[in-house]
Amino acid sequence: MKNRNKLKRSGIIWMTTGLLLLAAALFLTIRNLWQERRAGEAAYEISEAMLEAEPQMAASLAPAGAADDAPLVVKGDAVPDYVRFPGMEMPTVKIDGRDYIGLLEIPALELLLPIISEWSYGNLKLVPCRYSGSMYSGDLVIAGHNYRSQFASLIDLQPGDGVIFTDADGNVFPCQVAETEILGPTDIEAMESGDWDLTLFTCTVGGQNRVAVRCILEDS
Amino acid sequence: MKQYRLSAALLCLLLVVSLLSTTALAYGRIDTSKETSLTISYRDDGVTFQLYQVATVSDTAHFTLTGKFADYPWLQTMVDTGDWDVLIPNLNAIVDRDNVQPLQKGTTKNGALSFSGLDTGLYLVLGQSYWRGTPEPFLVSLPDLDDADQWQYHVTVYPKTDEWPPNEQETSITVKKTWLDDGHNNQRPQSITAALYMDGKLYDTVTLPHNNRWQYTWANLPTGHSWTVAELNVPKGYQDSYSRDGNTLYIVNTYEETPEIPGTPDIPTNPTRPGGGSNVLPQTGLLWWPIPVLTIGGILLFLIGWIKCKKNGESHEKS
Repeated sequence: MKNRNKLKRSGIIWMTTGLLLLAAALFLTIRNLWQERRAGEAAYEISEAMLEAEPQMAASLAPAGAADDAPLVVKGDAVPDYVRFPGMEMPTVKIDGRDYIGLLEIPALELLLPIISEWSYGNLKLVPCRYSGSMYSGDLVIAGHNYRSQFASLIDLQPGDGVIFTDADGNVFPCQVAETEILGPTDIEAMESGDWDLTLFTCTVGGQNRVAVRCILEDS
Repeated sequence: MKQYRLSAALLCLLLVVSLLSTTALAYGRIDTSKETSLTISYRDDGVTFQLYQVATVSDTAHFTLTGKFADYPWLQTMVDTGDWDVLIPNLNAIVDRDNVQPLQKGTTKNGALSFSGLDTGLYLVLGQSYWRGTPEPFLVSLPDLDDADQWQYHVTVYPKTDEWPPNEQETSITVKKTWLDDGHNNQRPQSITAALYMDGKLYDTVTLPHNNRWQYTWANLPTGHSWTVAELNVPKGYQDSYSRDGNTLYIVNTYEETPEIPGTPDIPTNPTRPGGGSNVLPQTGLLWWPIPVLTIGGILLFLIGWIKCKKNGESHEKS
C-alpha cells in the first residue's frame, strides 16, 4: 500500500514538472512573439514620425510599391553638407528621447527601419542601431535583432539586392549587397574591417554567431 | 673626366642660384613704411562702403592678423592659404557679432570712392545693401601686385554687385549647425544661440537645436537686405567658422584638441570597448532555442509521470 502511494506521488511530481516545462516553453514563445510584434509596431510608428518630422526624408524615399523599380539616385541638389564638411557627424532626429540617424530600406525584404544613433540592449529591443562608423566615412555598421519584422531574413539577401540608407538630411545612399558572411561573437575587428560602405548584422538563429551582410555604395 | 663632372656641377649650381634670385626679384620687397590708398570704382552713386584692416603685411608679403581679428588665431591658416572665399564669410560674421568698427567709411560719388592714408596690409571691404543689390564683399592687399608683378601702393578695384532677384516679395534664410568633433561630442553644449543680422544689425536670435534639429529657417524675411549669421557664446574648446551657399548659412564648430602633458600610461588589464563596453558583438538573437528543449523535456517528463500513475492504477486493480 505504501509503495503504491509512493509510486503515485512520484508520477504526479513527474507530470507536474513536465507541465511546468511546457508552461515555460509557452511563456517564452508568447514573450518572443510579443517582443517581435512590439518591435514591428515600433519600427513602423517611428518611421512615420521621422517622415512627418523631416519632410526632406519623405521626399527622398522611393514611392511605396515602386521601390524595386525606382531609380537609385543620390539627391541631386546643392553640395550635400557631408561633402562640404568632411568628417561631420551624422545629423540625428530625436523621437521619444532617442536620437535616430536615418532610415534603412531593404526592398527585397519589404523593410523600412529607423536606425538609432547609439546601440544599447535597450535600444536594440526597439529597432536596429548604429554599432559603429558613419555613412559619410563609408564604414557604417548597423546591428539589429533577428526579429521577423527586422533583421531575421538578412541571410536571405543576395548579392545585387538593394539596400538604401536615407540620412536625416534626406541624403540617399543607395547600396548593393556584395556578400554575406558568418562571424563569431568576438570577431569585432573583422566586423568593422574591410572596404564596406555599409554592414548590417544580426544573430544567427541559435544566437551563437553573427550574420554580416556587406554592402557597397552604388556609386563606388 | 673629373673636370667635366665638376663643370657640370658648377653649371647646375649656377642655374639654381640664378633661378632663386629670379624668384626673389619677381615680387621685390614691400616698403611697409609707405602710405597706400584704395579707390573703389562702382557703377552706382550713394552706395556706402566700409573698410576694415584684417592683417598687417611684412616686407616679404606675409600677412599677420591684426586688431579684433587677431582674437581668432585659427583664421591665420585661411590667411596663409590665401583662400579669400573661405575667409570672407568668417570675417563678415566677426564684424557683425563683435560690432567691429570700420577703419574708414565712405559713399560713392561720381562712380568712385577713395580711402587714403592707409597702412600696408590686408583689408576687408563691405558694401551696404541698396536698391539694386549688395556689393560683393572683397579682400584687397595694399600694396597689390600689378600685371608686371610690381607692387602698386595705390590700388583701384571694381566690385561686383549681388543683385536682388527680380519680383521677389520675400526671402528666407536657413542656418545649419555642423559639429566636427568626432570622439568629443560629449563636450558639446545642449544648445547654442545663432544670431541673424540684417545689413550688419542684429535682427533675431534662435536657439539650436530647434525641433530636435541643428538647423532653422527664417521665412518671410523682407527683401532688399543682406543677411548674415553668427554664433553667440561659442562653447569653450570649439572654433566657430562660417560659410554660405545661397540662402543657406553654415556654422561649423570644430573641436580644438588641447594637448595634454603625457603622464605614466595605465596598462589596462582587461580592456573593454567604448560604447557597448563589451568584447563581444551585441547579442541580437531572441531566445528560441530553449523552446524545443523545454517542450520535448516537458512532454517526456509528463509521459513518465503518466506511465507511473497508470502503473500504480493497474497494480491497485490487481490487488
